[in-house]
Amino acid sequence: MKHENGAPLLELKDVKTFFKVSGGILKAVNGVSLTIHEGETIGLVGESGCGKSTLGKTIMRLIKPAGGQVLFDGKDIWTFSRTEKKAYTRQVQMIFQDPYACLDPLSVIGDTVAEGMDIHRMYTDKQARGREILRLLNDVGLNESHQNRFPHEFSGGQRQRVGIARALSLQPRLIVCDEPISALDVSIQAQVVNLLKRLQREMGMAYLFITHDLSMVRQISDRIAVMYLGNIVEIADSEDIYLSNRHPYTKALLSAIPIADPAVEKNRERIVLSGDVPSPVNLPQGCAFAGRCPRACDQCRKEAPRLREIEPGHQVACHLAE
Amino acid sequence: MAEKILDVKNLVVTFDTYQGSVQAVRDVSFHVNKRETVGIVGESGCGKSVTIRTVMGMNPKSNGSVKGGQALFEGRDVLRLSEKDIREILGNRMSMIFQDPFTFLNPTMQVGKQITEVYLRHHKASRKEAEEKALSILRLISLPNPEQNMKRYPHQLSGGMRQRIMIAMALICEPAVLFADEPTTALDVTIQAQIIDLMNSLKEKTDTSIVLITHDMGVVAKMVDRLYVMYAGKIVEQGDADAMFHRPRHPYTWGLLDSVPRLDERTKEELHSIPGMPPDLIAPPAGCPFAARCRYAMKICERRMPDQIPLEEEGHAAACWLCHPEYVKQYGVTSREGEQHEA
Amino acid sequence: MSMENAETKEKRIFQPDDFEKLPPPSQTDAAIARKQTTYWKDVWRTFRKNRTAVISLIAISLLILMVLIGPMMNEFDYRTNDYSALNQSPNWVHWFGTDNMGRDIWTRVWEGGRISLLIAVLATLIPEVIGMLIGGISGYFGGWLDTLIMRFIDVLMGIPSLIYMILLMLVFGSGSIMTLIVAMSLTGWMGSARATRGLVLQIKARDFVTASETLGAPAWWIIVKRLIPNTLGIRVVGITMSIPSVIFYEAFLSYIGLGVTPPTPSWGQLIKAAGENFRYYPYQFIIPCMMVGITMLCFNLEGDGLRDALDPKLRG
Repeated sequence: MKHENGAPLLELKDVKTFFKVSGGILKAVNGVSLTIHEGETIGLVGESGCGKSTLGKTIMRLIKPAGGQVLFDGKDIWTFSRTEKKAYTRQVQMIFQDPYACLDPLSVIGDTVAEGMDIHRMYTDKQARGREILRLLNDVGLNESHQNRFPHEFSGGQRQRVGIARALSLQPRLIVCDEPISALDVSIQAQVVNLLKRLQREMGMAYLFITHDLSMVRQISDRIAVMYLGNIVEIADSEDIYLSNRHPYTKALLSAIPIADPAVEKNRERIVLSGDVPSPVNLPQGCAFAGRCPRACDQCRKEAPRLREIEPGHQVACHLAE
Repeated sequence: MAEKILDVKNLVVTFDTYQGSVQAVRDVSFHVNKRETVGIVGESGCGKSVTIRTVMGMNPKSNGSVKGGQALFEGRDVLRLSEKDIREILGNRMSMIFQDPFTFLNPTMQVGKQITEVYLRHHKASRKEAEEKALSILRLISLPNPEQNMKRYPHQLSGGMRQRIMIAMALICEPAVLFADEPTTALDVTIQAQIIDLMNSLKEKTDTSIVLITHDMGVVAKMVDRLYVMYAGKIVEQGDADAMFHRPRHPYTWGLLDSVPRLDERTKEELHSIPGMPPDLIAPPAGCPFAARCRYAMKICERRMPDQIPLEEEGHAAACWLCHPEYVKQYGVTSREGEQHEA
Repeated sequence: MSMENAETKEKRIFQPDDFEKLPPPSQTDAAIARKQTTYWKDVWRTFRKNRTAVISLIAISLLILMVLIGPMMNEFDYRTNDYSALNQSPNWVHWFGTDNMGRDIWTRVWEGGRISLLIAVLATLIPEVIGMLIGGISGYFGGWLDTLIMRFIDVLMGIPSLIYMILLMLVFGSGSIMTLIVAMSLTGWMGSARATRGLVLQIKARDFVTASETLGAPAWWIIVKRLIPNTLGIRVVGITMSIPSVIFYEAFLSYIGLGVTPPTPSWGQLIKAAGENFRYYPYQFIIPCMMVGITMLCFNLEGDGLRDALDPKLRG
């Protein structure tokens, strides 16, 4: 396990992010605690509405939480001074979901990649700046011929790689990847994930990999947290989530994911959840999953379970898990 | 005995753009039998959506042109029908469901009305009869509380429900073929599982064949009886599900299956990916379009495009020189791991 | 099944090196094959297909050419009185005739055109820039600032801008071109601010703007480098369509004596001077009116063409 050494890089303590909407209060993130250490990859999985993207944006200082703390290197990011705020942007960066919206259509990609460097005035010498741009493009598999082209001339996978080069330009210690491969073709997804893994090996940054793709997240994460309606329901080392999961939602989620093998598909144990994912506005009392859980009991409906450790490194939020 | 209900032969579709002609579909042939689910898989730009939309007559005449081929359906070539005849078939004998039900449904009309509208367009019936029919379809697809939900508007329904409404609209006239263009891609995994189950159950409950277009090999594995793999406007391999998943013979199919991480397999150090990108179809290469990205490419692959070469199993064929009898005679059969075996 | 026999036979013949393996595929991306095409090249291509718009564009170009060289094409200037040649109809010496003080109308029309077009351009661009900045700030920051600015604009726009212009010109005192431009700028920025703010709200939500924020960009960087440039594509239509209005306002203000004052010619001035004698010397009135009318029409048609060319759904 990579993370046993030293203080955590990022610590979330009971973070709550709420939005006021017409129907009431949308509790997008409803008490999440999470730790990310230097150089490790945490996978954050869940379906739409579970709050994973909002959590990513809260960490990026884009949305202010209603409660709880986000600590980077031990300091609460919402107490930053102006210089500290700017310094934070050099420490934590983000890659976005939609490759067709994440690049300014009016800038050539060389300038897009250099935007961070220009904002922080990292290279005053034009030549040095040019060399650095080329180096970053090469790092992600593009070359000199690409740097003066516009985003619309590139494929989705290439645009996503430009976004990665841009995030790397500031040499961050943590990159929040918000569904970075969902909009890409399957063979390109593998290219991008391989690229992210290689970059991590070479540069040692940590990733928070937000996705709904449980098959892919297994390939890149050290630890995985499963979210449902604003809460983490289970968090454990990667393999434990797949091989010894305890939460009924985790089990249902895994059984719903199709496997590219018809013979295996026929013989799988399947848990098909009835009904739809409820709305995060006006959550019920008790466990948020009780309405769809095949094993829900009275206690589940009355009292919301908290995350508790059932094995070292493995936490579950369920009254019935052992 | 398998009965062909749709037979597409040598379809060629080219789009004229100011930068040149984009050869989106290059000599594609496939067929659909009664009561089966056929998959057409490939990544973006391979031509699968264009193929289906052309067969359904949905390409705007201005910039999508059928340059060759025929699509035989119920005794007629649907590619050569008049607008009027196509309108009679759409929604009635052939229908389609799309990826995003929200943009497909009319936001200002109750969903029940949208369903009955489809029925009334193709059948002379009273409103009451149409409503009865709609209700029966909704019960068939297990929509909870059909009477209540029929009166709702699209924005009041969840993603999964909207997809079911779209399926109901597609099925109400009991079509022979239902085209499903990425029907589950925009849905959550748990909802996707429900919709896949629903579509599989249709095989027993109705006579409708399904043509599934997707890039998701997992969904394909759960649903199809036979599948076609498309790349750069051509079909590179075809066969029944068992052969295609367990004994594929085309390097692109290998690449596609290898790129998909499997839920039931341990973490690999490095994922298999296919290097490079598909060719630009404005200037497609003369030979095999996959040659530039293929580990096994030979000189002949750049020179000539191979035909579909029939393989041992019935219906299984691959368009690859590695499978050509000449090659096999000299070098043996190439396995997925890259080893050569005796023929 | 549809292949010829000769072709099929040819396909069965193999060359000796056919099965020789090629080098493994490259891992990095090839250079892009297609020629570079920018957004505006694309727009121009679509614009070109619209005959009316292209003709209008040519007409505007001709107009600009004429206002530049027209006055120099004959030996007369715009202010010399020639009492021996009063109120002449168009003839070979005075191509557009003369006015009631013997001044050559050809020269006056083109000189006037210079003034009218200069005012049109400046009195369109200056308020546009002001409006874009205000709209950009309002849209980006949102909240109470946005509400304040928008309600302020709502109140101001409740009164027609012509009334403001009249009041301002009465206060400033009419005469100089600068005061006219200032008055028009002070009243013309509001539409642009509103339009820009609306566009900025849409663009703000796109990921590339969020990316700039996460890279540490200050507000001005985002507004000036990311938001406003991305609104220009759509705003350019609004700008082109504003020009006819400004030309009209200038003509109107000059006509009622609050715009450009004699001897400086402008089309409005010429129309005013000719108004009294319209029945006897109609050409003096008609010619500058036509100039105003044609210019307004051409800018409108060209603006229409531009809007169609920018509409992504209509692009071919």
